[in-house]
Amino acid sequence: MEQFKNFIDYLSQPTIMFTLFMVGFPFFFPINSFFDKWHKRFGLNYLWTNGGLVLVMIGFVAFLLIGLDDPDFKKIVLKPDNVPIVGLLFLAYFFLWLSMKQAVNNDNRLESGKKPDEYYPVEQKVLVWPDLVYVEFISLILCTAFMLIWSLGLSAPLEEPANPAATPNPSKAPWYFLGLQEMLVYFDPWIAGVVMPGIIVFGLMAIPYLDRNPEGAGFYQYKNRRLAIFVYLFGWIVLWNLLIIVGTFLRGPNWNFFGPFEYWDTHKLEPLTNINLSEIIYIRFLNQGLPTNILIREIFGFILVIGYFLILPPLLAKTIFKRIYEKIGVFSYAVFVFLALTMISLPVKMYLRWFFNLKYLIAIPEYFFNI
Amino acid sequence: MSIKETHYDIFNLNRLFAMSSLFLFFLILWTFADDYVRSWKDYQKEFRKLESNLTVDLLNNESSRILELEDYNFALEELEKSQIDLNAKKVSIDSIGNIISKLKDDQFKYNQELGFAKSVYDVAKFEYEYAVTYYSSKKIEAAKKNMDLLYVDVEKNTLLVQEIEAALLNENNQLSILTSTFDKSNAKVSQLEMQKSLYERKLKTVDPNSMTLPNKIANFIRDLPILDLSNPYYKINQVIIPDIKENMIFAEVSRVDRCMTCHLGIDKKGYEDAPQPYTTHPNLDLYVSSASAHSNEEFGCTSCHAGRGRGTDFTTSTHTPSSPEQEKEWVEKYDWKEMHHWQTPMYPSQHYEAGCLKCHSSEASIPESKDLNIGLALFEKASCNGCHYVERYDGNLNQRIGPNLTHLSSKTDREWTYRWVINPQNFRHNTWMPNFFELMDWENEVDSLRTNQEIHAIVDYLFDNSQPFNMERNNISGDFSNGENLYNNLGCKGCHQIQEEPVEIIHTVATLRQEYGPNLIGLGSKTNKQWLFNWLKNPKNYHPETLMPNLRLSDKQAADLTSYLLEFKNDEFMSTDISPIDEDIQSFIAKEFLSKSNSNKVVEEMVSSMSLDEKIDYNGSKLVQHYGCTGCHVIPGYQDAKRIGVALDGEGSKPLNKLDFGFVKIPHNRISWFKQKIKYPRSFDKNKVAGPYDGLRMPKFGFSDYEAEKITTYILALNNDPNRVPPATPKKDFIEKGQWVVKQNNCMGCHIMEGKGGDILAHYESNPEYGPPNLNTEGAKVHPDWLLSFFENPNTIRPNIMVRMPSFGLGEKKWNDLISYFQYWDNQTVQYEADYVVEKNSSMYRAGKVIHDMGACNSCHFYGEKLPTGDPQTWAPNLALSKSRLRADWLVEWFRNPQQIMPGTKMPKPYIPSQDELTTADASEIFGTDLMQFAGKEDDILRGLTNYVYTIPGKQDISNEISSFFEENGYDFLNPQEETDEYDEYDDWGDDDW
Repeated sequence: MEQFKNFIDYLSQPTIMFTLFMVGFPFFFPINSFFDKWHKRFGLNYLWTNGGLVLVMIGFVAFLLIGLDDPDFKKIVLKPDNVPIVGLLFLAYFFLWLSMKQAVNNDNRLESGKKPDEYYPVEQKVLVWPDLVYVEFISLILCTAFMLIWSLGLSAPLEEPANPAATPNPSKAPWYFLGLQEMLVYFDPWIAGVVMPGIIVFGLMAIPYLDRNPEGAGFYQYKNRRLAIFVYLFGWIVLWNLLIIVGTFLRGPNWNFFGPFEYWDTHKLEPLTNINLSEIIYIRFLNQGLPTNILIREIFGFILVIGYFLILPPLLAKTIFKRIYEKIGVFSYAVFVFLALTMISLPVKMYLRWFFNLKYLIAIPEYFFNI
Repeated sequence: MSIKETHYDIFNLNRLFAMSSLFLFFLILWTFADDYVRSWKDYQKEFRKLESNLTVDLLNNESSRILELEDYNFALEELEKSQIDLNAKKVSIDSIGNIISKLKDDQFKYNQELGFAKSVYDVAKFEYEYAVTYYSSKKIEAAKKNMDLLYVDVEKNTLLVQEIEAALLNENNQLSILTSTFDKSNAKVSQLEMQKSLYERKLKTVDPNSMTLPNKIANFIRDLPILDLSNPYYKINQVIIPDIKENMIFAEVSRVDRCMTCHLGIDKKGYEDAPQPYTTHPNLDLYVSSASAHSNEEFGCTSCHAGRGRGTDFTTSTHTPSSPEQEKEWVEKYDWKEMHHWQTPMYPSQHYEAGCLKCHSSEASIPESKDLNIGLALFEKASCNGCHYVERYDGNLNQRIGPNLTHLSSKTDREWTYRWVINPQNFRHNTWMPNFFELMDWENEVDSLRTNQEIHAIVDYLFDNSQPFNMERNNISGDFSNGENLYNNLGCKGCHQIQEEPVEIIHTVATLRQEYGPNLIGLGSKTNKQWLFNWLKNPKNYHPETLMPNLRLSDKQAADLTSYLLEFKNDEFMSTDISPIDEDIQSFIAKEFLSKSNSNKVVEEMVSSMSLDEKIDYNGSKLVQHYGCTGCHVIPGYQDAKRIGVALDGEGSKPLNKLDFGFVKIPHNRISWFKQKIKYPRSFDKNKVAGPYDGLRMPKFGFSDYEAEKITTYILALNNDPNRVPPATPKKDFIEKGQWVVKQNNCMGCHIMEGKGGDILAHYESNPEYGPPNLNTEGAKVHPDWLLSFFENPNTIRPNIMVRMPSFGLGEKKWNDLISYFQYWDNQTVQYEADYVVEKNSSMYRAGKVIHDMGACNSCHFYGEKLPTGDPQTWAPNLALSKSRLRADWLVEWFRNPQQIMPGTKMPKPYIPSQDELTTADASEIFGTDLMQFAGKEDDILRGLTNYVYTIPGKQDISNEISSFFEENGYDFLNPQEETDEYDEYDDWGDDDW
């Protein structure tokens, strides 16, 4: 049991867990035939069947039940604040399954030449009265019952009176911002708190204008919408939900990492040895002091960042994104590639931090501008 | 639209709907149940049973009590008789009753008719008045006629009504005459039965079994769910205290205490033996009851006990278990959990007195708080205030309680001092100087060697910087046994002890008073003859802030005492080894200190350029500051040094995250941390990696669990909780200031004051009158200006006691504080009293003289230099001193009843002839006409006696005469049994001189 716990603690480290998800993600949502082959070889398409749902749900429940034995796990998971996030696990998977099941089903139908499910006129009508309203009413009753059970069972958490002289440790944002709070580890607050969320919102709004793929419109489909689904789900599952789960369960005092079975020791110390790119180059490699002129000092960072956003897109247009570029045109492509690169910049920054202890590519604290 | 048309499986949906509705319904029932079922209701139900049982008991007791009373039985008989009487008159009573009822009916009718007539008349009157104003004379006439007619009606009806009322009054009078005896005896019986009927009524409201059926039904209905919103029996009891607030950081809210919801018996007598939570609060006269100083309405519960007053549940009120065993019990019984988010949990039972100090902090010791007072006394005796600032001692107690080390080389030597510093208990087993060294069991050889060098540095520093001290040369050789006699009898035992072997005691405030001065063992190994002689003659010469007073010893006495005290040696102590000075370690220590403000390279250079002596001197000066010696001792060069410890005000409210638990496995709460700190101060450094001078410095006092618990109560009491300080009155102010003076100078070590203290009297068990006097009524007793002159220059008052009042030299301000304290304690607040004039040419005076002559006062009392006629055992104060010393009003009360003022005194009540004796035939011969005039007027006679005593002539201060007498003749009557072998050998007092 001890070994199992240690194994899970080991696996839950952000470096390992995130990498596993990153690497494994294309296999779950294959973007080309290579990944598709392995997707089928690993039997991952079983996930989107009824049996898969049952298995995964039971897996989650079993994991939670086994883990509840451990007092530290119990404390985190049963904390009234965190109970909804445990629910998030189930809900996120369920709705993902719901849509993927229909998508895979339609894929199979299309392959065998049939039309997708949604194509056929519905033999069955649904009337608003009494059908829909009746069902809604029953749902109302059941939802009320659920909420009553929840409120009677779990008391609202009340802690000590708010004291400006005593900050709680850890001090966590609401769950819907925990993804951003996790990003704060890797990015400057301005970027992680203002710029990135802005770009995320902008990106979400831009999706209908970027996604000009006429196929798969009006019915669930995976095969012809591979890229769109992959990109979106990557952003949703890996970059948002996963970070929320990490922030809720795996971040403890001083925002240190603690495995789910680990005791939250406030005195745990992690070495703080993060270094800026300018410092790496000038001080470590070149053995000089930092130049006084800011531009010269941060030139390498500027080169990298500007290159990333200005040089990389045309390169990508000629290679990987060639079809997209041709299909949607210059302007849309520019927006698309900007959003895609921004999205990828998060994992990139994370790995730069993990491998090189990199703090900022561009560090201009005098003007509060750090990337 | 056809309602029948549906495309879903309606049958299944109906089923689902039914089940989910039913489910929801039961859930809603559960919500109501969740709200209705409360644990406090169970407690209230149980208390109801207790209450009805108690009421039944009280009722039965009361019933049987009144049945025993003669008056009651007699009244019952009378009632019976009058009842029979009444029955006999039944017919006439009934007839009168009928008449009255008929009259009442008529009265109603006529009243109504009168009312209507008046009403109609009013209308006519209005019309007339209106007509006069606006209409013509014809209409005016008509209106007037109408009005007058109606007025006649009104008069007629009024008369009728008055007649009826008169008749009614008459009949009622007749009726009451008939029933008068019955009424009277009924009233008498009711009065005697009043308490019993109160109990009966109470029982009817409390006990469902004694209720009438309608009440039983109401009793059931009023507590049903939902219906209990109107007037339930079982409800939350709360008290709101608006001015002692609860601090919520951003707001302060009124305190709301709901404790009495379960603690129902707490303010009622009769539940002292009931199980908790119903037990009556101890000492109801002081706490909780409405008439007490800490009534529930004014203070609630949490202002003293802390806790969460708004809680209505055992756990959520933050009850704190007093031991791990109790915690286990509570977890089992009540599913108890610690509410660790509530910042002011309830004090566990052994620390409940921690709530007293926040309001009473200006007082030197808190009355009725035994545990807290022991904690205070321990804290003050151990001189915690020397390192840890506590505001309430500012201006009240000295910070530095340890000896003055400015002239150390004149007192003792390095040999002794080294051995003392390394472990004071080796020399004096019950010393209050704590252990600074060798107290951590995880220290190793290296630490031990370094410790030795540290002590060398400190000792050498002190001696090298010791300033010269001019000592009086004394060549008188002292008499050892006389010294012993002096020690035993002069009053040294009021503060000091000579206790060679440790004795197990549990400290109380009294035992701590007896340890006010050090245990005087081993002095022969510590100091020298010259120094001790000088010290005894005048302590303030050596140590200006010393608390030891001047005993006004003669040279011979001082020499005798010196030789006695120096007989006690401690060779074992002096024979322990001292390790030699090690230059390497001294360099290491110097480097450690120098690195705090210099770089490593500079430190190396500095140390290599210092000579050994310089290093030792530097180390000593740094170490003396590091260990905070300056907090308790005056040290040359560091007279103004700051305290090294944490200021302790507000320590009891310190958040847990500011207390460093280190790696010590104790429960994670304040109380455990304080206890651990007090017992093992440096234990929180265990297993930590740090330099030798980076760690904790608090020394170890060796407190027992009991003592640590009491001190923890005190620390908990130093908190920031909202308080309500008692209103400041001059009386309170003066008494408090005086009590601090009394505490600082250990007055209660010798004297009984406020009914406490007088610890030295344990040595005078068989004859307490040879001990220091009881200072009961001192404020009413003495003239304040005499008292001041006495304090500044004590002279002999009681001639035959050997124990003497020392000269404290406190200065006029402190003496005034003390004198005001005495006065306000006795409510004697007149500042200036006119000079008391005795009218010698009055019969009161002459009567007093007669009483005086009858009393033969000179058999015991001195009259100026004139010796009393009796033996020295019975000698009493100089009466020539009376006028300047004693106040007349007090003297009158003293004569009236000496035993009441000074229990155990040998002074008898002066003989006052009774009224009968003064009115016999030969009274004028025996007593004189002057006295006969005041027959039966004791006050006047006593006043006359007072006046006479005031005029007794003679020398007031006879101290010299007395001391020379006893120098010649000795005090052997004082302790006839206390003859040791040594005493016998040196028997040069000569008992036969008498």
